[in-house]
Amino acid sequence: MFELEQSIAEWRRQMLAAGIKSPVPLDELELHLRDDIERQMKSGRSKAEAFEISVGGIGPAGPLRAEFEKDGHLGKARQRKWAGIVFAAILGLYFLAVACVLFKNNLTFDERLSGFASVATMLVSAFIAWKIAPRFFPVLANYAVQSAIGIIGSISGMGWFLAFACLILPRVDFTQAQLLVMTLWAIVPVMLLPTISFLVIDKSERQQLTTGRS
Amino acid sequence: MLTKELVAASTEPLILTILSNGESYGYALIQEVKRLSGDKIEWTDGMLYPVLHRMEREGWIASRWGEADTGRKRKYYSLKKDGKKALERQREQWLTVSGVFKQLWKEQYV
Repeated sequence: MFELEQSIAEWRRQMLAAGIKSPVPLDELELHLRDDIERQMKSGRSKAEAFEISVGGIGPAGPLRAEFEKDGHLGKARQRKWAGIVFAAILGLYFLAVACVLFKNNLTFDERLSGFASVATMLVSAFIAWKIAPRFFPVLANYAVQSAIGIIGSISGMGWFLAFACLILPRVDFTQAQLLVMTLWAIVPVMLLPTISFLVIDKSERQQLTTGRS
Repeated sequence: MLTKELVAASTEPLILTILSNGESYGYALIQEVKRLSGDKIEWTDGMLYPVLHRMEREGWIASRWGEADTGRKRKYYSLKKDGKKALERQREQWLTVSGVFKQLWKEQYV
């Protein structure tokens, strides 16, 4: 004897096992299935026939999941694009702020040059990290490892700056201009370390989406 | 039957147009398009729901869980302000393409 509710529950289990997430989109798909079964039955089909036809119409879980993942991929690509724009804007503003500080303060030519060199180093390093370095980064499949890399990247940047401010600066006798230039150089790793960890995670996420792993 | 590419390109404007007449749900959208196209456009759930979810993220449409007359839970979609603007833009583009075809084919077959 065909049990419709039992068959729908089994279909749900199969979808979940194949990676279709609940409640969204699985609940919506189930409602769709029930609507279609109802329509098939109204046109004279038995419960079992209606169920078979409707399940066939929705299709197997694999291609269905691929469609939803493709959509997730587009969303991620958009997020990535915006993250890139925001990061570029931050770097641009940083450059303007540094230029302003370097010209307003009474610095020698060499000090000013060194200050600009720190910004140039940051920009060039960021470009290399973005365009060239990712091909050498590892692909981290484990989400916990990805999170750890993100946290380490952020903490190490701040940790370095704290060490610079608390351990290095008090031990060296800088003029105000030298202090300014040294601080600019110290900021370089603060920006670069989180950026590199973000790019490592980003490469891993992209690789996972391409290969279809969740 | 229409090509996969044409079906994909027309999905968003069709959804936006149907929702401009009032809220609806996934299954009804599929049936409506099938009926209007004389069974020539058959959307699959695997194609429709990701598109609906993306359009919701874009802020074009909104969704709410409601109850059908049968008492069954249902997810209704409705058009938002940004969706109306998107529909206007897409409508213009499709009318342009349609206008060009009309002129070309009139010249060709008259």
